[in-house]
Amino acid sequence: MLGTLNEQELLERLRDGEQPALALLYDRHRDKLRRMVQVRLDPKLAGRIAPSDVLQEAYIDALKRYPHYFEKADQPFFGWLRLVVGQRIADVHREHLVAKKRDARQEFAFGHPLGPRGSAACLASCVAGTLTSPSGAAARNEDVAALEIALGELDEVDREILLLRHFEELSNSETAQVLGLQAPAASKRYVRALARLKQIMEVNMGTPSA
Amino acid sequence: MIEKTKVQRVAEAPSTQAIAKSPLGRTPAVDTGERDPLDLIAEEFADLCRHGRKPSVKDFQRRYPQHAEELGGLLSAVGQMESLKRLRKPTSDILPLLEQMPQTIGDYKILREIGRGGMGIVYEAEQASLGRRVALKILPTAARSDPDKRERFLREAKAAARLHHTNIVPVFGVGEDGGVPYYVMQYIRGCGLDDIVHGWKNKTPSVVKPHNWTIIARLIARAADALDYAHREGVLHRDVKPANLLLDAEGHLWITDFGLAKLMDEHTLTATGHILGTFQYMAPEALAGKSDSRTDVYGLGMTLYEMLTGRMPYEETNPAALVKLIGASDPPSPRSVEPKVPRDLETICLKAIAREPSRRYSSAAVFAEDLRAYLVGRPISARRLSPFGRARLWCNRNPIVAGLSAAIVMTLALSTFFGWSMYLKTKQSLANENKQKLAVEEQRQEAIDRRNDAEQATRKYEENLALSLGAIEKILEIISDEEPMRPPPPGEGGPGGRGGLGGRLGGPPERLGPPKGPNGPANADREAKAMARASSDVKMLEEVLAFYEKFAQVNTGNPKLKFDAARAYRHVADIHYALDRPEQGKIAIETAVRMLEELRDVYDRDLVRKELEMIGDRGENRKRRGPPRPRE
Repeated sequence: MLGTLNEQELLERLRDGEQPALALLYDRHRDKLRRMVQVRLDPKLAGRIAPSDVLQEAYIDALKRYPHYFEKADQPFFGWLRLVVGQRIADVHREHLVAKKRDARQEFAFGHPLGPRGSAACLASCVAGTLTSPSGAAARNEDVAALEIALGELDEVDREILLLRHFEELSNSETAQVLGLQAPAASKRYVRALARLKQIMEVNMGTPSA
Repeated sequence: MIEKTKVQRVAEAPSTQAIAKSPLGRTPAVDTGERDPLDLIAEEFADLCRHGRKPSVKDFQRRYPQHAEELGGLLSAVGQMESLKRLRKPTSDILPLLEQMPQTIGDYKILREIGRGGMGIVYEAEQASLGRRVALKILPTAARSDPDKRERFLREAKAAARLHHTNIVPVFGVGEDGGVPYYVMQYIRGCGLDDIVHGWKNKTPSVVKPHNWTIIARLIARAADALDYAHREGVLHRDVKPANLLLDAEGHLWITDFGLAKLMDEHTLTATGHILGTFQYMAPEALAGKSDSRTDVYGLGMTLYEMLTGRMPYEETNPAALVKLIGASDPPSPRSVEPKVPRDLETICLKAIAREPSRRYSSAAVFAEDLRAYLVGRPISARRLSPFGRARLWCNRNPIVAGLSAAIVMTLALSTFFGWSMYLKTKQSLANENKQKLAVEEQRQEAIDRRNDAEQATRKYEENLALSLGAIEKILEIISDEEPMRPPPPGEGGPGGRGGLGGRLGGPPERLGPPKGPNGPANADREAKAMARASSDVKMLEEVLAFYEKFAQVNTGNPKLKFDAARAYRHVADIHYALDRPEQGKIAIETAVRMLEELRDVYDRDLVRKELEMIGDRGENRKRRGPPRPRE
């Protein structure tokens, strides 16, 4: 029933206090929000915190706070959800990396019933499939390191725009919304950021820039 | 130039028509109206990457000739961003989160989700008909959609279900429900060995204490027994690691997830980002998609390593660095990480995790046997490697050398070298130019920066060159060894106790003949092989020699390189002698000596002196051993 409504209609239902509408809205943006968590969550927490847990907690936050959105609905709902999720990620970092209040795995360390768990995958076919040899893998990973360095050297808006477009897989208009830009400007900026990235990498690697 | 791109050009650029051509038939968000045409092309390219395709930059350039120039750089950046994304993802959910927890699957009532990972989702469930608690695993979506893969999953799971062993988590059943393949295992209350090791770090009390060598050896021995049983049944595990070894509340060890790793393919993997967790424990040959029972031995050896030292073999969280590390080096020896580790256990562990399958325990049973020998205080069968053995392994393992022929390495070294000398020239002219042009104060800083860059690049070239030279030297050492690599005969142990490199190379040619021992047809065969090897080695050596000669010619000014060339002549002389060519050996020695004499005043005196002494010693040795015995 609710599932057939579009975003605007769902928002109206939500404003009228129909909470299941929030679940649907959240689900519709879930893939993007998950990628956001994956990109923004500190790698040190890998294995301790599943993106799905962060999303779950953020959903509860959103449920508590959605009336605020309607008090001052000055941005698209997706942008607001990103803020909520961003806040949750910041909390998670504070909790696990700064205060070290608890170690998530400690709770599991003993006496906790754990079934045979989902084991990690096998790299073999991955490497064999995409690369020619382990030495190829190493060379390729040097490229990756070079890319990370180049990303770090970009100015903040450029970097952010690339993260949004590529890592979070947002469309141009979504990226524009998040950054508060006009769509055409965001598009231009994206192309420019790509060009700058390439340029920095070329300079860093010592090959002449075209 | 990119900024100049006009919005009007949208009409001729990709937009709808190009996107319709996209094999995915997916239309990206439709806000194309006011976007940079390059943005749209980049989006199309990224979209293909995200769907596991490998779009070619050249194809795109051909399709959009008006943008060909810009696209070259932009699209490669897009491709790199997309692959970086996959590498970066620390953890991720393989199933869309929208997927609701099913109420029932087949005969099983789902109670709760226990975990999810690259291999799918595990639920705690109740088997309605028997009222027993089970763990139920369903496959990741990616694997589900492919009928081939589903069939393979069922086949593998059935194979695993045939296993009955006290240390293997029993698989109760395999099935398919509405197209979702699942399998059902006994529900184990306990934790993985990874949790235990992690607990040590946090000082969490645990049944297995760190440094409890006896318990650790016993647990690993049990796991080895279970693996051996499975291997004899024709089932490989393929993903042995601490997380797949469970310890229940009674301290009983269980191996879980037999054979499932095989089901993972490139697509699932890149989609899951679970590479890191497993890569640590994966045997080198598995990287090439080959595995046998010794691959499981390796995984278990790595698990032992972690139990002994309390840390992962490679402590590196950056995936890029990790891949590089595993490709290039061994983990530090257990005792260097944790000096309390008993020597024998370290030896056992190192044998189990040898890079080359042939150097590992030939089966899990032999591995278990050695652990038991340790437990009862009997001598273990594993031997430590001699320095020579390590040198040879270094070469085999060196990622540059591995998989490449020596000739390729040489080409590499040469091109590095020429690249470097060209670079030096360019740098010089650049510096001159700068001197003339950049008189203005603020431009001087730029010149300094540029020079710093250039110096850095020079250093890098020099390092690469040193690496190549090192690689070639190792090749020399290998091909001058008398026997092809083969596993030690059972019970005889490894190559421990062999002489050092210097002695063997300087030795008389009998080393190339049959080894001492009982004579027989096997020996004749071996000798024939040695001969064949020798002739190919000679060819290789001549190439090496040519390389060094060229090297020495081109570089008359650099004493370091000249010194390297002199050393090469010494190696060459050794090999000539080893191959019964004393005349050529003598010439090479003389060349080496002459070069060293010339270097005496311009290069590190100690090094030169040592090198000359070494040549002298070799000569003495040869004289002592008498004239070479003619080969039959």
